[in-house]
Amino acid sequence: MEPIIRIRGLKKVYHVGEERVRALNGIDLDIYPGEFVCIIGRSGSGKSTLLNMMAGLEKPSKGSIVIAGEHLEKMSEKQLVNFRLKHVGFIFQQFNLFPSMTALENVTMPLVYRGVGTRKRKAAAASMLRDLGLKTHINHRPSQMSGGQQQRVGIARALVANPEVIFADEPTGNLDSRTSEEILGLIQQISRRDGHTLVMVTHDPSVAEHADRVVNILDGLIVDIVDQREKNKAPENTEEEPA
Amino acid sequence: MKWIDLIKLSATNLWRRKLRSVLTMVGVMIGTASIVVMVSLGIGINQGYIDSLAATGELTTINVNSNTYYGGGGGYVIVSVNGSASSSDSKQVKAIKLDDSAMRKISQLEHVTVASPKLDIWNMQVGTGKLVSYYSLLAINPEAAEAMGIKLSEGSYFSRNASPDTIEILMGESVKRSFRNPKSNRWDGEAPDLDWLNAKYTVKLNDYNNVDDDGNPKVYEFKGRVVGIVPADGGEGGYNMYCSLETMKNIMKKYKKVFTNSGMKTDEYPSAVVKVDDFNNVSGVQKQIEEMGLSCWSMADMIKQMQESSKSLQLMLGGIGGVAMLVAAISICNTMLMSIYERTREIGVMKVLGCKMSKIGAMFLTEAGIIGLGGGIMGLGISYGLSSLINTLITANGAEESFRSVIPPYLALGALLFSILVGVMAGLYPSQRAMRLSALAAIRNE
Repeated sequence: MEPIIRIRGLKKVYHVGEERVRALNGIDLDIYPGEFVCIIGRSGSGKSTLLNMMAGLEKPSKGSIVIAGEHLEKMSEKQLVNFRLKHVGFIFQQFNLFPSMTALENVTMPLVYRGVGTRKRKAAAASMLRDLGLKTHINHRPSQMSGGQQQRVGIARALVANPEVIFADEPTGNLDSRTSEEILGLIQQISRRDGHTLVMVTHDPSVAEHADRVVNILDGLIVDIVDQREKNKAPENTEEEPA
Repeated sequence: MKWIDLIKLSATNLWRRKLRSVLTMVGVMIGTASIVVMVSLGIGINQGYIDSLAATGELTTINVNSNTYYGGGGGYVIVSVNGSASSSDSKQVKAIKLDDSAMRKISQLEHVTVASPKLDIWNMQVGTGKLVSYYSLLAINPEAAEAMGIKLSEGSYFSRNASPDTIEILMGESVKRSFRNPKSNRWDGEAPDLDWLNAKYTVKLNDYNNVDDDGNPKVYEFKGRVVGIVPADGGEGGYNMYCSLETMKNIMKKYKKVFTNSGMKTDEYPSAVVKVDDFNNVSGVQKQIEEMGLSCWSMADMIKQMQESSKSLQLMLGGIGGVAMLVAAISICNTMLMSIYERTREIGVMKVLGCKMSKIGAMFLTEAGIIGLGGGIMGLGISYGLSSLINTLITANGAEESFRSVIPPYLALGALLFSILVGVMAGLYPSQRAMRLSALAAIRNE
């Protein structure tokens, strides 16, 4: 199968004053359609930089990133925005909902940017919110919702335009462990159902357990890639171990 | 992204910061109101003046005067250039006779609706019964009477086939008062009680070179008939007794000697009146007539000057408003920059979600434009209020009526467009800033 994301020799160097900080030091990585990949590493390992680059938010210093056949490293900022519009959904750690808008309005925004008509986008957003169990909170504003609910709105917003790739940056970083489990379950369930490719960055090994593959990053290099598919296919006894 | 969504989004963003938006709009409001009120005064002064002149029907009239009729070589006529008779850019033309051929040429000029000579028949006297008027007859082209702006309150204009030995008269309302009995000393300035249209009139032609022993001139009598009455507001204040130039020419031919003896010429006219189709063509026609060698006078010169000076007044007044508008623009710019600073993360999120940069820029421009429009609408409201207040105050104080504040639709519309433009211009820099903001701002975990 052709990878949907192909990364070759990716390097990123930051200039901090006189010093040169190597955030990424030559990354090669293939991610296949429909996969759930977790990038795990300590703070400062370069995992977020990698994700940002895949989402076209930062420019690589060297190397190439090809997503859905398009070379990100050659694109202008305008083209990158267009690229995200077509191919990418993004889930933030801090939810980043528009505070003045209701849940429904927040979820419709990617469709608004795409020029979808009012009735169509409202229907799509409402059904997405229903899928995420927020049927009763459609007209709530972010300030009237719990963290878990807000993140569910964030997920709905990332998924509503049906992008091929979804990037998630520590999506459970601001949630308690119970809610985290719930949220992860939802992300996984829906992206599997709709065939999205999911790339998630985390520092939390328990989050990574859900992924098909786990990419370990340390000091800007991939240390190892663990395939968990066989393990996760095993019966649900891993779900809730008795204390 | 659709325009309607963009506008809705911008409006929502402004609504979130109501107080600040409104305060910024107040700046635009003050700017717009001061410009509109100032300009409206200028327009009002202008219009009031022109209106009062237009009411007299004088605006489209050119008075032509002969330089040769009263003797002398005639000399030269100064042709004014661009409506001003300043010496440096004027030229001189040899004066010509104001005769029938000149009149023909004038009436053939473009934009001339009618041209008629004005010949004062000062050696004839109109009387009825024992009453005689001291007004002289003014001979005009009979067909031109109506087009010259002479109105009638009663009767009709000159008849087409007037009998050659009856002098038809259009009598001005004010002339009625001049009829009195020369042998009576009693005269109260009141018009005698007459059936003016049906009374019998005699017109006497006095031959002052043929005086009898008692010193009375030889008199030739004609029949007169008043066919129409010119009201006081019916052209030249109703101060004339008009008669047909055609009838008069016949009489002049017959009694040529009598007229020439009185110093009147039978082959040229002392003056003429020319009507032009539109006020804006007056100076053009006037120049052409002057170039023929005839002196002219019209309101156009005066109004041109007046318009010039009121234009500079308007510019000055508008300039004061312009300063207020500049301050408003700076305040819009400031508000937008602050708003962008506060919304850095939000803009980043929009970029991450795939909102095109141009749309982000457009959103901020729209916000600035809405501030401008809002301020413009408020300012226009204030302007209408102030304008009517000024007008009531002026009326209450009984000041000159020509001084008013007028807001024509084009001023209102122009002010709105201008305020939007100011908003958009002030929003240009902030919107560029917003577009350049990094999408990374959305992910930074503060």
